[in-house]
Amino acid sequence: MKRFLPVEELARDERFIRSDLAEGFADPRNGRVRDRTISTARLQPDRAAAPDRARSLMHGIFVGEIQALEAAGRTTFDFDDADAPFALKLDMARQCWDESRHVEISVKLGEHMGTEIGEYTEATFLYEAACVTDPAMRLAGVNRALEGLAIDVFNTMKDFGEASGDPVLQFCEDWMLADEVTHVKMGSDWLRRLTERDPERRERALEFQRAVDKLFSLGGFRGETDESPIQIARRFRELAGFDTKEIDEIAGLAAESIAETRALLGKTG
Amino acid sequence: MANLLLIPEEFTLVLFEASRMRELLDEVLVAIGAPSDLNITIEVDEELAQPMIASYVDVDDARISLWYSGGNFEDTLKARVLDEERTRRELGVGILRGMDRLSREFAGAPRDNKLSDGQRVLWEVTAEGRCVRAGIPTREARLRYVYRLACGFSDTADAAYEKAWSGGFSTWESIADAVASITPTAETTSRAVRRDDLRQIRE
Amino acid sequence: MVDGRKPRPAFAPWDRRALPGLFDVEESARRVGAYAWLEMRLFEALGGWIATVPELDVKLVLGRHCYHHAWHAEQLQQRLPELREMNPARLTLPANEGIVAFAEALIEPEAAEQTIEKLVGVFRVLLPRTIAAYTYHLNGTSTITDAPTIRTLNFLLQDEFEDWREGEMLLQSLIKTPEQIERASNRAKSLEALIVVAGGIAGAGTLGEEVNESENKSEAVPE
Repeated sequence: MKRFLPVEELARDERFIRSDLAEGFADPRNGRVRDRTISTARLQPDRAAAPDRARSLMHGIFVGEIQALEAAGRTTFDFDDADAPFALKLDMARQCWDESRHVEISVKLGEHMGTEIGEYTEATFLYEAACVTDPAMRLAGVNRALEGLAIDVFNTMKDFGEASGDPVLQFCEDWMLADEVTHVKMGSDWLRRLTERDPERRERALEFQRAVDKLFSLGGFRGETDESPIQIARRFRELAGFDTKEIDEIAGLAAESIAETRALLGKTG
Repeated sequence: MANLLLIPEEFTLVLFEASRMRELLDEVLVAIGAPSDLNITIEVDEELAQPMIASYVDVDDARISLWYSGGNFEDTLKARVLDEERTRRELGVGILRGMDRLSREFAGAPRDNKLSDGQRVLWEVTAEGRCVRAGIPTREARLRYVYRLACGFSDTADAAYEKAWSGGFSTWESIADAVASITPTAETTSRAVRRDDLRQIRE
Repeated sequence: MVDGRKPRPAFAPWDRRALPGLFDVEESARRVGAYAWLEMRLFEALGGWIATVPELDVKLVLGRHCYHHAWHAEQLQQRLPELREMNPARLTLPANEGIVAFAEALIEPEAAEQTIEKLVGVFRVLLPRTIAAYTYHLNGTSTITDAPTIRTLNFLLQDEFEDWREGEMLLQSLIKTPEQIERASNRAKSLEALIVVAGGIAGAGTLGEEVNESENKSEAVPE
């Protein structure tokens, strides 16, 4: 088995269909709904289309968990002990088990919410962030940016479960949230240790993290205003070791991304 | 067959064929045994994509008036493409509810934008159950979740669901009473105004 | 009332543990290091394979088992300083060149169509061998002086048995056609040949066959 498996080679059964990003960008409907003064884009049970938005998000979580599992797995294999010490790989192996459980939980939650594997397409951004060949960058992109996003997503879903009186959703999301906090902490810890004597490498890794954070704030998907369905979970991010400055920075990226999307749609819409 | 007014006459933002949608409607009307003299308006808002789906079923001057988000008919795997199975289901439920509205048993039902989420979805459950019995495939698991979000995750709510699915509610009053008994507090305030957001600007 | 001052034997009548054992400190440590080395190669392979198998249930099982074997490696390495090796990495070594060849062959399959080959290597060749070797070790070593190793191996064996059973069930659900049967048996045969040459996961004498104790020491391959 070779090291560094490209995204094109991710193995899937026939139920999984990849998202066509080019097609998505070319969709002439983009931006038109923006004018409808929908008072909040937050995922709340009494909002328009809430059940289907929640189901679609749950499917997105499911495929995201598969890719997180694959990414952590590849980190146990892709690097020599010199580049990634055993203790780091042990943490990644632990993360494999956690992500494996998260996939199981997501499948069950998907059934609970009336969706099924393959109902929606799979975007592979997450795994792509794990294809970098520097373990410090990979940990920054996957464990800090993407697992940080997972904190925001799970907290949003937990709130949705609470507001809708769905005990199953609330219970499961809370458990997954606990795991994600641990994964972010692992990422922060290893980023610090791997780049202890190389501040430039650390800066490159953090720059990559910012790029990934911005990608996942695209179009206002994640932020702190009513325009974002996924809200930044400040409290849980603090538990995971993000300081206020870092969280503010992510909120800033989100706001920046919303402004850019507005400008883009203003030009093309 | 029915006298159909389809708005728009041809689709421009999505890749739906209006002629195919008409054919699917005809299939559905036959399957559910609809009378041949129905007057139906179907308005599709092409701008609204998956998963931003919503629909309204009303009757104006003895004409069934259906409004849908384009997402209601859209393939979840292929953006802008018509999903025929989904379309049959959506049209089946809509027409059946429209036919309910034309009947005396539903004369007292408020317009769709005045229904609470619970009332609306329990009514849909009765219609979707009828669709299945008429041989139109549906996504029962999806509907159950939508229903539970509106009426609660409880054995009482589930029992009402089963009753509705198997045809136990055949009047507006029975649906309204059932919802009131399941969610007496929540349903005193209609959430229809917020649910109406998707349609608002076009009106 | 019990008289606490009345002398009692140090070993209760039912406690049959005894001092004699097959391994001295050095040999127990060598074996533990060899086990740790192989558990490491195994968890890395399982982790790497997750992205390469299309079967969702297999993917999830590999994710779980990946951690089990990483944890085994950690437990074994933690025992090494207690066996007079203060630098666990120094003794975390393959037992011989044969085991290196076996591990390389085990890890080799990559294609999405090779799930059977991947699983046969782990569940029909390697895990039966680790179960056998760990069982031999805990049955043969001194139940008093090497009790910590026995405790560790018992924890590991619990996982190994359960994982082997789960993997075997996956294989039985995947192997359905004559062609698949042949693939599975060919794969087992080729890996079996390699591990037999190696003498087992701890090298010659893994299961107590007559062997010159110095044989494995000279075979140990520094990385």
